[in-house]
Amino acid sequence: MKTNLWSLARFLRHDDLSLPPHGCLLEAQRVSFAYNGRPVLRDVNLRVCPGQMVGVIGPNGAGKSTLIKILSRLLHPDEGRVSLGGQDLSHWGHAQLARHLAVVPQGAQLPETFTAWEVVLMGRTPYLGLLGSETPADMAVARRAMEETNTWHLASRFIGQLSGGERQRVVMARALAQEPRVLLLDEPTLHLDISHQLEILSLVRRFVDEQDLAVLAIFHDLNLAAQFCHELILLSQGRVFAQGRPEEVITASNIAAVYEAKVTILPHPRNGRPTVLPN
Amino acid sequence: MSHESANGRISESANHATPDTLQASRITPAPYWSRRRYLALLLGALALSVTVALGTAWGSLAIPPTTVTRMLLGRLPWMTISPDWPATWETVLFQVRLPRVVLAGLVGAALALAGAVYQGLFRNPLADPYLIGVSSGAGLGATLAIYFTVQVTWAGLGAISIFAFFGALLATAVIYALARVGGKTPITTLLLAGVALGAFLSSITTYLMLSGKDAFHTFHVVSWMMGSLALANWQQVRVLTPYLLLGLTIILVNARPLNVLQLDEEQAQQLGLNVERIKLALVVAASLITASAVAVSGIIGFVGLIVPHAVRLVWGPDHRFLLPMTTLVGAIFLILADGLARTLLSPSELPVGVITAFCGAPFFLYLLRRKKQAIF
Repeated sequence: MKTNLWSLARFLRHDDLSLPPHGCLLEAQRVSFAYNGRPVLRDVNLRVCPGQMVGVIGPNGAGKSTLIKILSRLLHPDEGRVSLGGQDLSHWGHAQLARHLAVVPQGAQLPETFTAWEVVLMGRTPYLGLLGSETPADMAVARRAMEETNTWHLASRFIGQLSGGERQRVVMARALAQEPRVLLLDEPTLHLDISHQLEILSLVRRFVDEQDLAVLAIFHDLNLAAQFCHELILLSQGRVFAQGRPEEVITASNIAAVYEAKVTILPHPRNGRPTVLPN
Repeated sequence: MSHESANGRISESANHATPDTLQASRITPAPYWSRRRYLALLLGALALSVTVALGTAWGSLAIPPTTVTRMLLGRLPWMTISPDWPATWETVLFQVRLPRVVLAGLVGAALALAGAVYQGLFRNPLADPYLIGVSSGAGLGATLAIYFTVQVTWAGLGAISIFAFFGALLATAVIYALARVGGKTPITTLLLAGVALGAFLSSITTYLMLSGKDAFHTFHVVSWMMGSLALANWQQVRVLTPYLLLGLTIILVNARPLNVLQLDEEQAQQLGLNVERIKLALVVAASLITASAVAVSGIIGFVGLIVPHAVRLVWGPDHRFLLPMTTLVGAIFLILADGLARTLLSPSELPVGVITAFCGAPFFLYLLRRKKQAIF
């Protein structure tokens, strides 16, 4: 009974996202941005739709992290617009935006003396009012997010006692506790070993497939990007160099042009996705 | 767009998958508010009342504690206790000791609370209430009032208090404005601007102090800077209380956001906080209570630095508990320190800052050694 009341409360305060005609939640149109006159992004167009995982690849300094900051409104584009659910990002209130869009930043700083549980509960911040403290429903969501990310057993541990991979999963749990429709990930597998890389990405992919989450993720590893994404965007010096299905984007000529590296591209023996091998 | 596929997905599936998530609040580890914490706050409030009674009984004129208790209780509106004590006791207790004890409590609470806020806001364990200009601004204000022997009174406060109060607020406002870059106020810039402007103002203070026309001015400035509660009266209590209550309210409302700010500011914003507004509210509230405390008592060091740390060491970093508990402990600590300051060398007085440093530092080091894990 109590749960039903809480769902009702959630339903009443719920500000739903409407889908624009093209069916995509997050859209950047002709976005340009410069740091102190130095152009970082030039004329970037992209769309992320529900149930779609979009990967952003490109060499260091191509503007990948800046793109995430613009998409999450930490920075404002000099030209062009970013819209969520068809509405310009600037129309959204702080908390309202965070209820729909969550970010897993690169190498997120976490306070060492807080417990993993406390950090994941911070994901409920956009749902709490002034003076708000977490309701049992909020705690249930946070717990579920920890179980999904395989961090529930770490709940009472201090952040200072966790390994890099465990921290990354805690940040992931915090983002899921926001119950977002759109998730932005900045190199979610950085510094993780292969088993944790696959674990995190499979988890994200499962949310994409089963719950229609819209994901945009930055990748350093081209093979992982090709394996997990529906669509890839190859950035070069702030411009979109190529955009499309992994086999269209990850080609020997594209990699040679953007990364200045000679590679051989082979189809994955099991699923035919492109895999990158050094020459 | 159906509601099932929108927010609330995780909780709905959770309820189907594991029924025990409904009792999440009971079985989750380390919840923010446990019964033990409520009890600790209650005990803290009780300890504060006992400390007030103790501090009032404490002094060169020996009044038995039982009589003090009866005298204090007799003032409560619903109590009827016929006085069987001399009228002089009445004067000593209610016009000399009690206002001083209450003022010490208010000042201690204000400084400790502001210290906790600044330490949290700057994510820096060395932060104290005087970090961004309050002490240097108040110091210059007070020095100006003394140097030019300004004769104004307002709301029963003298020129030194008024000048110190507005000097502190003005310095903080200037620092905040200086640190503002493109609509944002980065914490590091704020810190550096505070240090720089503080040094600048202090140099003026020192110049004025040393170029004073007579030694009395210099002595007056120096003794004010060391902080004292010797001139306490009820009027100061009346002036300080509303500012403290206002500041306390603003700060407690922002206690949970302050927790989230322990992540970096970008993450806090991505979690839905209006970071700039929260920072401004906290800085305004903390400077306001510090400035009003400094105005009536001068610059009392160490309270705002060690009390929040001590509370954090014992009870952890959650600001929703840390801030109210720090307020109580700060009040208790300064009442006791001031009690020592006025009795140790009786009939002359020690500056209370000497006591706060002498007792506070070793206690703090003891806590630090006892709990070897990271505290901040």
